[in-house]
Amino acid sequence: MEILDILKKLCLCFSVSGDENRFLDCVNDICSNLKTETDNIGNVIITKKAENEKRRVLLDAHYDQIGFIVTGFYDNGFVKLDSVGSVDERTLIGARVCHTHSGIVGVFSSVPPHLQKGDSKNYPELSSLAVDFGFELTDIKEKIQIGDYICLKGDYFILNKDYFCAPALDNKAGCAIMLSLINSLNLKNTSLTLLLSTQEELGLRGARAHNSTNFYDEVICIDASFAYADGCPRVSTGNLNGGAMLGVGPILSKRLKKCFEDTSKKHNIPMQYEILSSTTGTNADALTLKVQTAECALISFPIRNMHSAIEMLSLKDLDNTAKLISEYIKEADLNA
Amino acid sequence: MLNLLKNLCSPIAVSGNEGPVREIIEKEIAPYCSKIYTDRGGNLIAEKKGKKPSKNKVLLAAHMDEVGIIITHITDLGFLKFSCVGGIDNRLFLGKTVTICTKNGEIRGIVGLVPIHLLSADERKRTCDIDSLYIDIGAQSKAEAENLVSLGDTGVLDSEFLEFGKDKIIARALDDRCGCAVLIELLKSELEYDITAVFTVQEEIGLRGAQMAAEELNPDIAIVIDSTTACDIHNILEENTVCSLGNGPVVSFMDKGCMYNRELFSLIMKEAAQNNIKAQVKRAVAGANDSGAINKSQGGVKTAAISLPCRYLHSANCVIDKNDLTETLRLVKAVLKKACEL
Repeated sequence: MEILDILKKLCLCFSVSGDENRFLDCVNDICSNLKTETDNIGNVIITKKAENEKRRVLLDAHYDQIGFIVTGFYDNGFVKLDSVGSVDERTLIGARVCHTHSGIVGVFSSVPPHLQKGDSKNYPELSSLAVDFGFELTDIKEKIQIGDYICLKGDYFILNKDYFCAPALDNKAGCAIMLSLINSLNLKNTSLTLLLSTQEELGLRGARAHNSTNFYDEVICIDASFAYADGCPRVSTGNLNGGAMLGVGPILSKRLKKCFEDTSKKHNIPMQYEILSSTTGTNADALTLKVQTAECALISFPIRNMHSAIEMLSLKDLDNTAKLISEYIKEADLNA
Repeated sequence: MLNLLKNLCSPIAVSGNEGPVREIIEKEIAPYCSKIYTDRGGNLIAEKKGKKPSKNKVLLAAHMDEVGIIITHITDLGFLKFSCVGGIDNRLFLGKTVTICTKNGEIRGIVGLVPIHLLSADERKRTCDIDSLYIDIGAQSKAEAENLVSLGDTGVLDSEFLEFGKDKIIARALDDRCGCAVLIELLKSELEYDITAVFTVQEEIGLRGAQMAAEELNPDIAIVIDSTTACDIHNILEENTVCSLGNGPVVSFMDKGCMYNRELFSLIMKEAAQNNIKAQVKRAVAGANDSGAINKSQGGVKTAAISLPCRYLHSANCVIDKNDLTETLRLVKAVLKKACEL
């Protein structure tokens, strides 16, 4: 399966942090000839053992996405929500949502401009909003329970041939890269483990819970980072179409940095840097503490509109990120 | 009527670009009318023969246009700047998708944003003014964007027509394709008296089509069919809800554009009661519709408005109740007969 096909499949599978069970089926479907395991917190782990194992590499990408959880009902049948992860409240009014369990559709309510009284200087906070599912109180309570999950509804689509848009490309695109790699790579000396980690959006919880008795020589974290667009600060954003963003910072391996630079040069794969002056805000922060003696690299792909229903990436960047990681792993395997 | 409404909601027809909706309506009503023409402003005017001539010249009106956006500038990096056509809450745009009508057909875009991770706490709350918003169509340069889009192209926030909840419809442009659907069904039915109907243009930018049509047609009585603001949402006091979904057509006594004719207002309420039609009085002096123009034309026209209650008006996700739609048709039909006899 091509990366884009995997990504499309993952995009159709809602996986708000803590609401992941349908994701495992989706992964099993994509990696039908590999064995998947889950741990107690909900991480999905896939290992492809080398015949002649000399080294072990862990690839990590989180598969949870931001969303909402039902906290109550209003008398008129509207549904009250709280956020799961850091939701962009500016994008909510007038947005369609979906009850992840049943698929029923609702919309965040709003007051029409005709009736507003000078209260539009700020975006409304989530606590003042509610979702209209078109049902009265008694009917909605039969369909939705407190504690159920709600997702922003957004189909994937392609802009101007090369730009893929969908909610939660952070970090389903990272998962798609990993799953395509494990399907395509056949390594002699390197055992490859994928950690599809959960609850990253709640503070790297899945990565923190990962079983630390496992030993890996190298850890490569894959996540989404910021692509420049109108209004964004130039510093702390990469360029769309600039290729993978190689993390450089105090907690990341300098040797691996050099390796990826060499791979990029040798195979003429575009790459750019992401300078992180302290920790990274990604699972790398947790895994560098967890996994004994491992060296850690962080490879990101640039996306626009992070944490909205219209996250956008360049298909070239997606391919080039996968290619950079794949070529490096193959080369390191040969040299082992 | 649902299929008809769905067809009517499908084309994009921002004020000044009503052609695609006009074509659908013309095709629908042609077999049932004695005369149809498009005036110089773009209004579609239809005359229908009833069983006998009416005592008064009665004009029915519904508007074809919808609120939307218009492209005003293309930046060096290929982003599109835009203005609103009609009244849209600026806060509805961020993180949403749009469709733009271009010379090469419809294309999609997204209203881009600076991720919250890169904003201060204050910036995360403050409404982005329209000048700071932009549309990303995936173009990487001004030249690439110019190949895809022209200045002055119009578009809308995306929204799929969907039946949802209990008897509800969610879609864009229900304001006022609902009114158009009611008027079309009326023209298709057998009527007692001769009537004139107008499907107006440019309502959303100041009732401009209705003004032209009323000057031209010079009616004695006008009945405007539009949608109106239902604010029956959470955290709103009953007295501020204006009207409610499922409680039937909304009858206005006064809004920001028109003091409605009292005789007609009473007649409508009486007809509703006599025909066992659920109807509600609009509980606020808010909004305006084509009545505001028609009422003031040619020495004055006795005007009434019968509206569909509609939540989230002027957003891409208007919500109506199907039952209100059929009840509105029944009420308009009953009232029309009496108005012709006045």
